[in-house]
Amino acid sequence: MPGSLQARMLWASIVMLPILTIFAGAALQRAFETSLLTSEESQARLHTYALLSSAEFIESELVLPRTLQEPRFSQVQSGLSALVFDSSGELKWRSESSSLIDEELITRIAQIEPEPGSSRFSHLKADQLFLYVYPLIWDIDGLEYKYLIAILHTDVESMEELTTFQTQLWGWLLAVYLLALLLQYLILRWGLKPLNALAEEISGIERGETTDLKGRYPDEVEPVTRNLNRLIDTERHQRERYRNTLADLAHSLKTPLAVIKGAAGESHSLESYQRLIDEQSDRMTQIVQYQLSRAVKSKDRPLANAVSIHLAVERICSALSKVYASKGIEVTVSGLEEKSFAGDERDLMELLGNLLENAFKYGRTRVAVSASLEEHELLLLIGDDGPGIGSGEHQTILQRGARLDMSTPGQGIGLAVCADILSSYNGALEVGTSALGGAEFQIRLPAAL
Amino acid sequence: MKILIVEDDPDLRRQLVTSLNSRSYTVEECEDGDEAVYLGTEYEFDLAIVDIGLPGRSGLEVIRAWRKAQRDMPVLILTARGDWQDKVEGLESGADDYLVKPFHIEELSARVNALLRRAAGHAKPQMTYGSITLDTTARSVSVNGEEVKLTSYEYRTLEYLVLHAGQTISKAELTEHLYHQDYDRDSNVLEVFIRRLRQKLDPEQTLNPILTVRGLGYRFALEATD
Repeated sequence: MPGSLQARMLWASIVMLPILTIFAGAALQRAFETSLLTSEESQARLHTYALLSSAEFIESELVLPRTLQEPRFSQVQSGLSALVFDSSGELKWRSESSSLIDEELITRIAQIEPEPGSSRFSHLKADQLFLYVYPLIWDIDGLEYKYLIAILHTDVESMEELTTFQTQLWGWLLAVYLLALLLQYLILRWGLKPLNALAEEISGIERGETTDLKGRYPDEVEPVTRNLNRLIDTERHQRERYRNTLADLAHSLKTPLAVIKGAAGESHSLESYQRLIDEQSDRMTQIVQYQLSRAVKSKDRPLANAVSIHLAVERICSALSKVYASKGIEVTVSGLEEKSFAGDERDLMELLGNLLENAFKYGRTRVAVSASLEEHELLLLIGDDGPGIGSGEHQTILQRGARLDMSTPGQGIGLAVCADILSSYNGALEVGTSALGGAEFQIRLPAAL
Repeated sequence: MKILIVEDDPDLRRQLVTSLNSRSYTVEECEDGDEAVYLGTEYEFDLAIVDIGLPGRSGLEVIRAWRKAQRDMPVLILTARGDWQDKVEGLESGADDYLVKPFHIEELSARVNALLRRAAGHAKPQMTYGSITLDTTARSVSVNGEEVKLTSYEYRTLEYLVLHAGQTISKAELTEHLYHQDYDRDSNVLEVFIRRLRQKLDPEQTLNPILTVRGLGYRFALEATD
């Protein structure tokens, strides 16, 4: 199967058009033949009437003049002849032109017995003749006299005419076919031009000459180009983001690497060198973890579908209850029913997971989660009864890698990731003091509709 | 204490095995999910460490299979991605704690310790039974505040008995949980350990912390004083 639309359509035309043309040609040829025969028949009928008009009935006998009005009946080579038979098939009269007609043919014609009153027209191809037979009944004094009039006309002229017609017809049809193909080709070229232009523009983007599809396209192609533009745009943003993340990652790894490299040149004791490597690898782990969390965080939110906050809180709390089983932490949840988060479920899990883990980690026995709607904002509070965070440290704790307490394990990036996620949703994270006495994280999010 | 390690990365697996062995745990290792399901359901372990990202059958499936087969040993999952979706799914599948890669071996050891204690019903790493104090973090024992030097096998024997205090533990169970499968299981060895433990913990024979239940096994008989 040919690959291009144009080729496919052209191939279809090349195959289909001849079929159409042959049908049309056959129909035309047929129509022409029919009209030829019709005119032959009506001419023959006219000759019959002319013959009858000059006939006389004398003493129970049909009498015809020797020479008729029509001169061709008198010329031997004219190709037009007339014969008259009586009811017994005996030849009663023949035109002068009929002298060359085969006796055998005359015998055959004499045997024709048409229905009374109905003429018969036939084309005797083998004899190259048109034959018109007319049964005649003459009613005189109650007596019926039956005769058969036969008009014979050569078909040579008609056949020549037909051949000429055929040659011309098929010649013209061939011309029409070629012209139609040419036209179709041109129409296709013109009709598919926008697609070619589109392909050209896309390869322009590939070559880096342009950044998006600028051309105006027909209505059918417009949705494709619109979506293509969107795709190109998303893809470009994604690439930029990857580049930035990669650059961030590479740059931030450089420092600990430099420290390690530098330390190799300094004279460290084995122990202090080990400690240094340990510190720096911790730092690198932290960096990698942070960038990974950022990668998890989806930046393109497709149509935001509502994610149940209640369900997420319950799942995370029951998971954390296992991890911190020895603390026997009691979780109180209020106002979470029907609250939802318009965004990616993983973002919500990441946000709540980090904050709830902090609450479980630092809380002594109780953790409280509550939510409320304030005008256009959803306020989500996560508090615990732990030591809390001093007001001076409220800002510090939200910075990446900052940890006030080094004894509880963790990467120190959780809150930075939370702040990152929230800012991408136009939300905010604040730190305060919980009614339970410990720290309280306040999440503000634009309310889901 | 017998631990099953399911980790497909050979380097990390070797590191885990070496360090847990050096901390006197009996360690079995395997690298894929199917074998893990088999080992975990057919043999008794005190704890399992499972990497979530196993080839073929995932770590989550392994844990679900164990739980379905009524195996309730504590399970610690290792995850490389460390996003919450992963962690929550892991814990929902039946795991008890998680650790995000990379981690310090000390961190792993602390988690393992805590899980084992928790499974035995102890919240704190220090357990006091009268004058005997067992510190599962430092893996040390002291009597009347004075540390008693124990060999690794002696400590393991004592720890197992203490964590199952009040229960009679058969010799077979002790051997099973304390030694490698290929270890020579001559029950005399166990008797030697018990005798030495008794001597070290209770030289005057006033406490009688470890009772011999004739025909059945041993029992740690002291009451916890917390």
